[in-house]
Amino acid sequence: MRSRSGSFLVVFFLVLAGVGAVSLRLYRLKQVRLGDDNGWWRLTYQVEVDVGSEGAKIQVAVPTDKHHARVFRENLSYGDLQAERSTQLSGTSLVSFSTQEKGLHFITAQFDLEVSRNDRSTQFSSRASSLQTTERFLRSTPTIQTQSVAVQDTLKRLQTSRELSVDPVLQIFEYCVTHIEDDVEDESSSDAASVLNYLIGGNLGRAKAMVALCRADGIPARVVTGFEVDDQPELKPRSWVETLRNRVWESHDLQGIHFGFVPENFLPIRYDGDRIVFVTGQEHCETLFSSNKLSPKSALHTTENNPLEIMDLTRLPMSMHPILSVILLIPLGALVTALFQVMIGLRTIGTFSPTLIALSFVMADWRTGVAIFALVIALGLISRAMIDRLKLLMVPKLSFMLTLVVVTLVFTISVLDYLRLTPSPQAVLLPMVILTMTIERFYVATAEEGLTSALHLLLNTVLVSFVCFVTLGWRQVGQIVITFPEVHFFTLAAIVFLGSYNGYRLAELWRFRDLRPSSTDASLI
Amino acid sequence: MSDRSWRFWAWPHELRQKGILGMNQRNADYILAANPRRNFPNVDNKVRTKQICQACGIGIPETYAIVASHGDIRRLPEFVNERNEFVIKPAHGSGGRGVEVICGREGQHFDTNSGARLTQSDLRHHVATILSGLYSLGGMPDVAIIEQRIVRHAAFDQYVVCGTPDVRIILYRAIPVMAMVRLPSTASQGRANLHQGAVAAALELTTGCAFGGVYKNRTIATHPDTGATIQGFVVPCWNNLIKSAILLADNLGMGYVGIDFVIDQQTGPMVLEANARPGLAIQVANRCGLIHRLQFVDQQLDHPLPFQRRIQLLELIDRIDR
Repeated sequence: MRSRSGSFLVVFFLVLAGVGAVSLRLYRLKQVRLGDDNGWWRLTYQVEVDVGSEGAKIQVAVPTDKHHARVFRENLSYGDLQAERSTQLSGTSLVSFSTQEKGLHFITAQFDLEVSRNDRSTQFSSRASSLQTTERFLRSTPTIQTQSVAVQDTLKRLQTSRELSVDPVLQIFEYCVTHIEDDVEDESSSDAASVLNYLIGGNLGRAKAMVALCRADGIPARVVTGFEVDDQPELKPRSWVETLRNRVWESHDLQGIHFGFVPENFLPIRYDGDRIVFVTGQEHCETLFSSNKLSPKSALHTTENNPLEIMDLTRLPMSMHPILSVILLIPLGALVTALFQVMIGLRTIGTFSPTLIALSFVMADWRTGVAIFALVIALGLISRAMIDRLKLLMVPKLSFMLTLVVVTLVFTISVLDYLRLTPSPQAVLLPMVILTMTIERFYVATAEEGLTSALHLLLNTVLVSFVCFVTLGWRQVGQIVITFPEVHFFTLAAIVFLGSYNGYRLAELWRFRDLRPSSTDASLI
Repeated sequence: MSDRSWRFWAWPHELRQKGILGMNQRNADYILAANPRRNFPNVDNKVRTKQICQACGIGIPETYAIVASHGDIRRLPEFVNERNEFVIKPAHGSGGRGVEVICGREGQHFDTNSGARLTQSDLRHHVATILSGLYSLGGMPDVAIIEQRIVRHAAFDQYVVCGTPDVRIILYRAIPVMAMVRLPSTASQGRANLHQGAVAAALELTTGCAFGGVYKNRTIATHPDTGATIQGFVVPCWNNLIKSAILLADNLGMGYVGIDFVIDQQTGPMVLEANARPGLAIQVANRCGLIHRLQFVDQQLDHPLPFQRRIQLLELIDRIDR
């Protein structure tokens, strides 16, 4: 009888190693954050623009020195685009890129920042420059409709109940915080009137509502969009409100309920606007923002390396993060596969085919992935049935099928693009060799075990792929594995545990149901 | 209504009580623990199994030819010669995959037991597919065996309409612990594989007498094609068969193994193949679990036991969980 104590010991040590490694990582992160007043951060923009017309213009709002932040290093990479830097009246610093060439263009921008708790307002003034500028922040806009019924009614109610000693900005702030429900899922740029009508809005919508109420009340106000700088592989822009009082801008954050100030790690990028990257025309644009903490040493002496940094994957260039997180997700797919095999007892076509298929769906848009997968499998099976008559040898036959799969895949993408169904370019990442083998095994299983059995196998494969897809597509999981790759100690522990599990599989509870004690042979023919 | 009448599953504790061996326990506690990796080729490679059988004097189907390379395929007509009946199978196959049984011939056309008619070209293609490894364990390149087709014993005529029945014996530490006979049915298209629809009946280890039966994973009492009662059928040449099984298990070097026999009308029991990972459906056919029998074998002292002692144990093993 095989002793399982060794396996359990390995599981124990792996869990212990996992807990130790994750604790150490958390401790180091905490130490770096609390070590001193200053923090060094790298803010990265990755912009991908598919230019469809000549003369397209891409405007990117970039960080500049602010009260609590100083940009001490900047690195822009934009290929053959033409770049021009400018500063708007509002104070927003813009880099405008233009091109005459159609096609995909990539812009990567890295900004190394020193974020300080000390206010550097002596070096940087937030005073409004002129009366003309002030009037600009009182006007009505298409999304900040100061004259709308909703805004005017709300303001009337607020003014009626306002006591003399009450600060009108504070009253409006409190109203927005307490009466407008925060819809964290809403990332759309909904307008002030509809937010005040339905009393629900996202971060930006609520900010616009407060700005509209302030402006309608004669208080100059604007929406500021920037980032809450933190260790985030994917950073979302965040909006807050600034009101002008005594020619000084005051910040108010509805989401974090900060009145009169915002935390020092709030980095304003765009004033009186909500878009960090703006593209003229109908060009397709994808952006990814991220920030990661720089160690003081790497911030000051970038050439000096610490071998311990090898364990910190977040220090790697952001462009590598997506592919790294995909690679780091594969063990989780293997774990799901092992779970289905050992605990449930589902047979699939190929042991790791479901993981790889799911992974390709995670990388691509899943709708495009499913459409292409179904089409490739269907056409592949038809072609496989047709070439069966040629009596080709095994390897040439598989090569023939692989070629067909590749051609089908590419032309399906082309057709989807022609039909303006916007296929994801990552759809080509569908594992073509796996698809070829899936077609071959399905065909052989149909011939040998019958269509029902083959379909059963295919269904199992799709089911396991779906569970792998849900697991691997969980965004937070991707972030966790890249920040804490040590979690794979737990993955290994779980796999070793599954490997030493010798209990019944779920499918066996059904398979051996007639063997229950004293079970009568109810199904006798 | 009792709890069992509507329940379509069994609880783990119920299966444990009946001593049902699950797939995970089979793999972990018996296959991995009792079968040394170096001896797997003795069972996974049918050519090697045949050689071991020949060395021990155990009956096997006569080998007409072994096709090891694609260059040999053109010699297929020479290998087949004027034979009307033969079997082509992969040396590393499992579960009956890739086995083509030719039971008739008309010139250059060959009839299979499933009713299909194949040409020389079809046969060559099938052999090429076997060599490419489509049917082999792990998908590795394989060799094809062309061998004698077994003519089933007349004793089976009442239970089989087509195909050749076989007998599977599970041996643990070279002691038979459970046996069943697999009877091809119309649903299985002449094949003796249970998952394809063959009928299985449990066998008493001491007598080779059949009892109970299972068809498509459910228990039955009569054969679904012929209507013959399964209970009471006795496998011919049983003593010979059980002795051959013990002898072969000793020589294969595998602690937990399934050995498949066919009974030829003329020559009696012949080893079809040995399996290092025998399936668990034999428990359904026997309506009892393997675990208690395997534990009984483990409790015997002084392994390996003398041959005669092992034969004596069969009576005790037969009584376990019956």
